Formats: sequence, structure tokens, C-alpha cells
Amino acid sequence: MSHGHAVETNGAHGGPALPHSHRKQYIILGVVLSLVTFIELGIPLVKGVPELWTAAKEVWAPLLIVLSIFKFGAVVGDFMHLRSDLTLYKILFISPLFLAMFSFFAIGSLSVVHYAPFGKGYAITAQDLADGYVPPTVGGGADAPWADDKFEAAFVDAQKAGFAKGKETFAASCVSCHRADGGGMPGLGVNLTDDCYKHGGKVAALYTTIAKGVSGTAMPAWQSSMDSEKLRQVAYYVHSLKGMNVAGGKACEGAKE
Amino acid sequence: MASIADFAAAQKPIYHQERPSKTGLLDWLTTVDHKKIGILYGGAGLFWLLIGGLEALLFRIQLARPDQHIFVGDTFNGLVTMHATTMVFLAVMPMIAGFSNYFVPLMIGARDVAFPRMNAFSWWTFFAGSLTINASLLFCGAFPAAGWTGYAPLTTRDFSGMPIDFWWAGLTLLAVSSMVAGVNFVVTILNLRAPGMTLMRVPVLAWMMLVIQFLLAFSFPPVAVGLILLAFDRTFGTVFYATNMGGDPHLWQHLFWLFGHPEVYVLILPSMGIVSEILPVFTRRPLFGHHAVIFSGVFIGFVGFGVWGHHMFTAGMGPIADAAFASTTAIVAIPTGVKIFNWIGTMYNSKMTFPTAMLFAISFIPMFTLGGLSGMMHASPPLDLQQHDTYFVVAHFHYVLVGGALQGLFAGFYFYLPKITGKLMNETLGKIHFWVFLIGFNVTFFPMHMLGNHGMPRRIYTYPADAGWNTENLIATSGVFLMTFATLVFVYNLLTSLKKGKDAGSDPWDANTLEWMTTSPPPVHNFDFTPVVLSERPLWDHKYTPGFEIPVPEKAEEIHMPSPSWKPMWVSGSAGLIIVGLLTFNGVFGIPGWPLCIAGALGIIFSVYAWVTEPV
Amino acid sequence: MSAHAENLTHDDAHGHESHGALSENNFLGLPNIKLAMWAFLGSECMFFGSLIGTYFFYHGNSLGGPLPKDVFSIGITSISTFLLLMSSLTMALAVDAMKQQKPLTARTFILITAALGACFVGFQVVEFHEFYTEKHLVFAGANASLFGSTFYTMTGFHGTHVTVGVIWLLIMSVLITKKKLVPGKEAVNVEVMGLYWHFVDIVWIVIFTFVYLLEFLK
Repeated sequence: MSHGHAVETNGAHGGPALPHSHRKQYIILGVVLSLVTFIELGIPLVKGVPELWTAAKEVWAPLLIVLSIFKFGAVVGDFMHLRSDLTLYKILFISPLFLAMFSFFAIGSLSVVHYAPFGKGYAITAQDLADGYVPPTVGGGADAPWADDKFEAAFVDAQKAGFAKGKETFAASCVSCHRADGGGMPGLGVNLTDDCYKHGGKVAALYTTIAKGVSGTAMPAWQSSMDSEKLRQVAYYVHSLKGMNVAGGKACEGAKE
Repeated sequence: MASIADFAAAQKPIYHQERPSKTGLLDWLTTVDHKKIGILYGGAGLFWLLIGGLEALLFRIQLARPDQHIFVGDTFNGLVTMHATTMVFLAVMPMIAGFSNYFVPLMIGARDVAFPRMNAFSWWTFFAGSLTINASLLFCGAFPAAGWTGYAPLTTRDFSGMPIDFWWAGLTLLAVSSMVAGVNFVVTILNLRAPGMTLMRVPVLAWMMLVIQFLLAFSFPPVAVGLILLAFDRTFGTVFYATNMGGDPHLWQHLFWLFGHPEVYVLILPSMGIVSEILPVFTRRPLFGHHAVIFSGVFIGFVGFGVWGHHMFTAGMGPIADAAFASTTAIVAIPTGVKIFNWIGTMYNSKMTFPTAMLFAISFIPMFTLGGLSGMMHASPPLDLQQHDTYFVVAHFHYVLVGGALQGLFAGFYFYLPKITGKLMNETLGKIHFWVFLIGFNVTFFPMHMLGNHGMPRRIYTYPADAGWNTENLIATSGVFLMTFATLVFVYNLLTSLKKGKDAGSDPWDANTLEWMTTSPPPVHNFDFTPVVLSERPLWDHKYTPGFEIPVPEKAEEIHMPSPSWKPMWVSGSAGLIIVGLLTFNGVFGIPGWPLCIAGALGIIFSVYAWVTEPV
Repeated sequence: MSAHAENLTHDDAHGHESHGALSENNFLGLPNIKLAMWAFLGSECMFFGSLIGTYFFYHGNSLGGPLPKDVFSIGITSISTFLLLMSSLTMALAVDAMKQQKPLTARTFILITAALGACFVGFQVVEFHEFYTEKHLVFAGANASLFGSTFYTMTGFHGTHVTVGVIWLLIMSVLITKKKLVPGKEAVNVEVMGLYWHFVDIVWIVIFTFVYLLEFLK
């Protein structure tokens, strides 16, 4: 830095006094931000120390968030010097920032798994198929010009085929513990037809449980013998069993969903 | 008493320009002048308005009688999709961009926009996007047919063909164009105001333009992301919208409507601004509640970001989200009501004159209010569940967009065109246009309320004769012919006025704001001298309020005007190359995709370097 | 006055319209380009908000493929995070040097910043390669998973922004070398570049905490 300085004294324009240099503050802030980053990196390691981890289990995640907000604020406030800059710049940046946070928090909290198992359109369940499902039409009945919609038919065919395959796999691999109707067996599989789940009832959660198994129980990790297409079919099939409450099923285990 | 004739005495400014402007066609290709770009935008908007109208005429003929089979299936869907896409993105938005380009710098007393070459970049990117969307007819022989909302998974590879690729490609270019223009105009309006023009002295139209530029800059990114995800799904085979992989079609709906609702305010706010400029001129008084009109416009812009969910009441978001979006939607009625009462207050008990511009501005108020009231019905989730995807909704948004936005723009054309061309439009033809359009518009869209209530869904290509929808459909179609006739009268009037129109002079309407103090059409540098603004109605006060005359400087000003440049077109062209490369990534049409993408990326780097090192 | 006009033309030779005579009557007296950058960053908030929002919208929805806790490792990501943070510091020092009328110091810091940014992008390429070949996290095609698609898209767009920033920094250092970018009124061009760079850094602060670190606590 010093050699650059010597060269530049020539190049520097005369004129009004130079603005105050913030070099020192920037370097101090850089050191502080590095320290904060090291603390952040240390927090996941706490998980390796069970006593420390359980001692303040609720603190660690919020602490990480607070530290990242501090870093965010320091970079915006000091490196981008928004803190001491004009209100107009603050408005221009902070209002869309809050807008983005608000909108995407809202959208994130509206995320629900919608069931569209095998085709890509309507959510129909095993119960629907058992009841002799007829695709919905918009007025006009079977004679209406749109009643032979090719997509409609494709949806239903794909779903029927997918359900059939899921049911097949279930019958081949799962019924020995979960019973043919999914009602569960004492000491073995849980009841899949109630609305209680030990490891989550969303399709994605069911998929993970089936794929990875549950250690310490009789539930094996099926990903070694099934490809992901098959696993998905079973997951959707199992999901469709929810709430059927077959007779003689096992009692509720886990949390209600 | 002072008059605008005083300004003619001002010294002509001394020019500094790096390179002289080109002439003829080259001038239009390299121009960075906001006025010329405004004319390009406006002309393109009018052209696409006619095309979009033609598409509507075709599918209304199909729907005129039951069980017709003229345009069926995807042909019909394509016409409907392209009618909406064209009208929203290629007709009304560029017309607004045209007004914004031409008049915002004039209204705030500036010589050009803040970044003239970026402005040209926006225009060329828009131009490329508009051609791309419609190119599907040329290359695939079909229009995109997934509706203008393009709901996934209908737009994924499984359920739609090549035309949708043209649709996302074109819309992505339009999104880039709008975001850049948004940033450019935010800076222009905030930073380039004439001395003395505080924010509260900025004309209402320029204010509404400021609000919509914020909306463009902040609402286009979500839909750009949605389109990019769609493009990745279609081009590379990612699984964002693949429901069998855990994907959720609601993601597209959220991203689209987070853009889509601010977008409808982008379409309506400029028309509100135009009406707020026209009413004071022809009632000979200041706008009633000037500040309230401005603040309510700003408030509408803010709330616009919090109401997207009301397009998704039927999507199953749950009661809490439905309630939240219902309340935010209902809040929109308040600032809108404030505006309506202020316009009525401006007219109340005044000595009005009724040229065509004023007629359109006046009829804007009840027609927009009708559309707004049916919109308020949709704020209620239970009612919305009944009306969703029926013709009632179609009636609602056409009252807002045709009765509101388009009538406002027509008013703007009659009011502002004399400034652009220097010629007045024919008043008799104008009044024929107004009355036929007003009647035709109501004949077309009012029966659609009934159709919706009788259960006719949107986007069906025909209906059985015994459904009970025959009469209303026939009436609606007959109205389209009236609207078509009226629009042709307007175009004829516009074109003939260029030659035969009466000379307008600088200030034909005895108006209030700065754009009328310069000649018609204005010189390249807009104003011979920089006006000093002393009040909300600088020109009116100059003419009629002693002590508020705009001072004419004795000395000639020295000004630096931007030079013509090819670089904006280079950058847009390179961006277009990337898009075409993605479009043909999988080897369709025998064009290799990835070399085009790389060429486009290198082209952007090269032309941006040329851009920043080019003397302006 | 005419000397002033020549100055303006000279300034504009460097391609930033911010100092053109267009802004002479400028009511607020702010540099156009800085105002534009803040507005653009507001727009970018919505852009990255959408990408990060998409990631969380789909978090835990993946049917197939590895899950976040199967692929993330704390090592390589923390190094690249640290590099990007330090590049923010050097960028701030470059802006400060330019305001102190020391263009050569500024250029040195700009080049260090560009090098750190390039390292970040390099580490990202290494990380993507490792995730793809060893952890079987697939972006697109037959074995794609929702987590793969959302993760690569989000971090890839961030990486693209860093790359654009590196190119921008290099162009800027060339302009300083050619004396086409001189201190004084034009220091704002470096400042605006800095705003963009810091913004890319804060986006990474958010991604690093919410996508990576919080995953380790689950």
C-alpha cells in the first residue's frame, strides 16, 4: 500500500479536502465479520457435544439467524455505508427488501404438498378409484364437446396405472408387516390408514421413511431394492390410504396430522 | 398578462454532441432520443392493439352461436392466449411506455431520460420479445395455447409443444426490458426534475408513471424467475413443475401472481394519471385533492404487492391465507374510491367543455367504477369460488382494462397527440369513435356478467344450444364489431390528422403543465431553456397568476445532447441470441443451441465494453 | 461554462451517463448511476427472494435423490464464504482509496477483490462437481431431484452474479490503467461497483446461513 501512495501523490488532483478515510474502520469491521463467521461455523459443531447441544437446544438456530442478520446489517450499513447515506437510498433498498422478505415468507408458509401422484393434474385417491372415479367435467355432460379431452383421459390413465403399480409393490413388499389393507400388525408395522405418523405424513416424508428405513425397528431401507420411481409409487399409494381407518387397525402411534 | 409566446423569445441553446444524429431509417435504428423511442413504443402498441383485437374478433365469431366449429381446440386456445398476451404485454404496456417515454421528461422539464442508451436498449429488447412471442406462428404454425397465465404443469413438455417455448422466451425478453426501463425511469423522475419541481409539484401523470416504474422494477423479477424455472424444465429437464417428483404447481401461481397483480396496476395507474391531467384542463380548475390523488396512487402501488392471493382462492391455500388476502384486496377499494371522488369533485359545478379527450376521460370514471365494483365482489372468497373462471371474471377485467385502461389511453391520444404531431385530430370523427366505442364496449362486455352468473366458463371454444347462453353470446359478439369499427375510425382519424389536421400550436388546450410550453412537436432538446417551477401548475400560473411567471433567461444555455448509438441494439441482439440458443437447445429447427448461448454471452460482454467506452 | 461543458464530454467518454449535462439541472444533485444502482439492487432483492423462496417452498418436498444433509459438508463452503467476505472488505478499501484520490491503490484492491471473487466461483465449480459426481445430486434429466434443481439454480444464479462482478471489476481496472477512469467525480463509478459487489456478498450471507448452516442443526 505504501508504494502505491508515493506514486499517487503526483496524480492526486488539488482542490477541496479529501473526504475522511474509513480504512481503519473497514479493517476492524472485516476482522469482526471474520470472527462472527468462525462462531457461526462453530455452532453446527456443538451438535457433536451432546451436553452442550441439549443444554440450549432452542438457542442455536436463533443464534445463527441473529448472527447472520448482524453480518447482513454490517455489510449494508458500513461497507455499503447505507447507514450514513441519504434517506432516499435507504427507502429504495429497504422497502423492496422487506417486500421480498414478506412475500416469500408468505409463499413459503403456504407451501403444502398437493397430491397429484402419477399424472400431473388432478388429485384422486385410492378411495376415488374404488368408488369408480369419473373425471369432472364442466357442465354439458358426456355429450359436451370437451368431454373427450385427451389430457383429462391421460391424467386419469396415468394415475390409475401409477396407483396400480404402487398397490402391486405394496402387496409384494409391505403387507407382511403392515397387513394387506394397511391396518398394521402388533409389534411390527404401524397402521397406515389412520391419520397418525411417527416420521411425517407428507408424501416426501413418507418417501424418505420408505427409502431410508427406520433404524432400531423392523422397517428396512427400501432404496437398496427399489428405484426411485417405485418408491414414489409406494409413497403416493401409502399417502392415499390416510384416513381410510380400516377395521381392526392398530391404535394411533406418533403425531396426528 | 404573460403568455407562452414569451418563450419564443428565448435564445436557442448551444449544442454539444459527440456525433451528429443520423437521418432517415438509420436515425430510427440508432436513436437515443426519448421522444423517438416513445413514438416507436406507441406505434408498436397501436399495431399490436389491432392484432390483438383481430384475435378477439376471430374467437368471438366462433362463440357467436352454439355448437360452431370454426376455431376449435388448440386453435381457439391459441387465439385466446395470444389475445390476452398481446393486449397486456404488447399493446397496453408499450402504449404506456410510449406515453412515459415521450411525456415524462417533458413534464418534469428534463432534456432526456437519465440513461438514454439504456432506454434504447429497453425498446429493442421489447421489440425482440414481441417478435419472439408471435414467431411461433411462423415456425410452429400454432400459437402458444396455455392461457396468458401459463399455469404449470400445462406449460411443461408433457402437455404443450414448441409454441410455449416462444412464449417464455418472448416474455423473458419483455421482463428484462421492463425491469431496465423501470430503473431508468425511477432515476429520471427522482433525479432529473427541473429546478423548483418538488415531489408535490410533479404532475399526477408523471407521479403515476413513477409508481408503475417501481412496480415494474420490483414485480417483474418473480415472474422472470418463474419463467426461468419453466425454461429450465422445458430445455434441460429440471423438475420444478413436475408434480410426480414432489414439485408443486402452486409455485408458478405464486410467482406469476406476485408479478401479475402489480402488473394490472401498471396497466391502470397511467390511465388514472391521464384522466387526472385532462379533467383539470377542461374544467378550468385545479385537480380537487391533488395530494390525495397522488398518495392514493402510491398506496395502490404498495397494496398491489399484498393481494396476489385473491387470484388463487380456488387453489386451496387455506382459510387463514384466504382471509388475509380478502382483507388486503378489500383495502384497495379505499384509495380507488378516494380517486373517484376527487375526479367527481373536480368536475362538480364547473364550466366544462367536451372535446373527445374529455369525453373519454369522463366515461373512464363510471366504466372503471363498474369494473372495480365487480372486482370487490371477487375479494370475498365464497363469492369468488362461484365466479372463478367464469365469464363474470372476464366481464370484470375487461371493464377495468378496456373501460378503464384503454379508454384512458384513448383520452391520452386525443389530448397529447397534438403535442407529438403538431396537428389536432378531427373532433367529429373523434366523437363518432367515442360513442360507438362506448356503446360497443358495453354491448360486448355487459352480457358477460350474465353469462358468468349463468355458469358459462372461460376458455371454452363452444357450448351446447340448450345451455341458455345463446342470446348473450350473440349480443356480445355483435358488440365486438362496433368496437372494431370505432377503433378503425380512430386509426383513420390519427393517420389523416398527420396531413390534414389543423395546426395545434404549442398549447392547444390552454393547459397546466410544462410539456405545453415548448413547440409541437418539441425540438430535440425539448426546451430552449430550463424552466424554473414555482407551483403545481407552472404553465397555468405563468399565464394567469401574476408573480408566478416562468423567467426566460437572457443568455443561451449550453447543453450536451447524447449521441446516436448502435450499442443498445447490439446488447439486445446478444441477449436475444442467448434466448434463441435456449429455445433451440435440444436441436430443433437444426439450429445448434449451446454455441448460440456462448456467442450471445460473449456478444454481451463485448458490446457492453464497447458501450461503456463509447463517447456519448 | 464552455470549459465545464468540455469536462462533461470528457467524463462521458468513459461511458457513464451519470455526469452528462442531462443531469446538470438535476433537482436532487445525486449521481444518476448511484440512484440507479440502489433501485436495481431493490429489484435484485425480489429476484433472489424468488430464488431463495423457491428453495424453501420446495424444501423437504424432494421425492428421490439425496437430501440436503446427505450432500452438504462444512469444509469447502466455509472457505469460499470466508473468501467472499474478505472480498467485500477489499472492495470497501478500493472504494475508500478511490475517494482518497489514490487510483493505483484502488486498482490493487480491485484486482484482489476480483481474484477472491474468481476463487469463490472456482470453489463453487468444485463443489458442484463433487455434489454431482460423488453425492449424485442431479440438476436435470432422468435422475434429477427437486432438491438438485432448486439448489443448483439458486446457487448457480448467485455464482453468475459473482462472475458478472468479476468481469466488471476487470473492466474497471483496465479503465483505471488507461486513465479513462480517474478519481474525483468518477469515484462514484467504483462506489457503485462496490454496492453491487457487497450486495452479492449479502445474498451469500443469507444463503450460507439459511441453506447450509441451519441444515446442520436439524
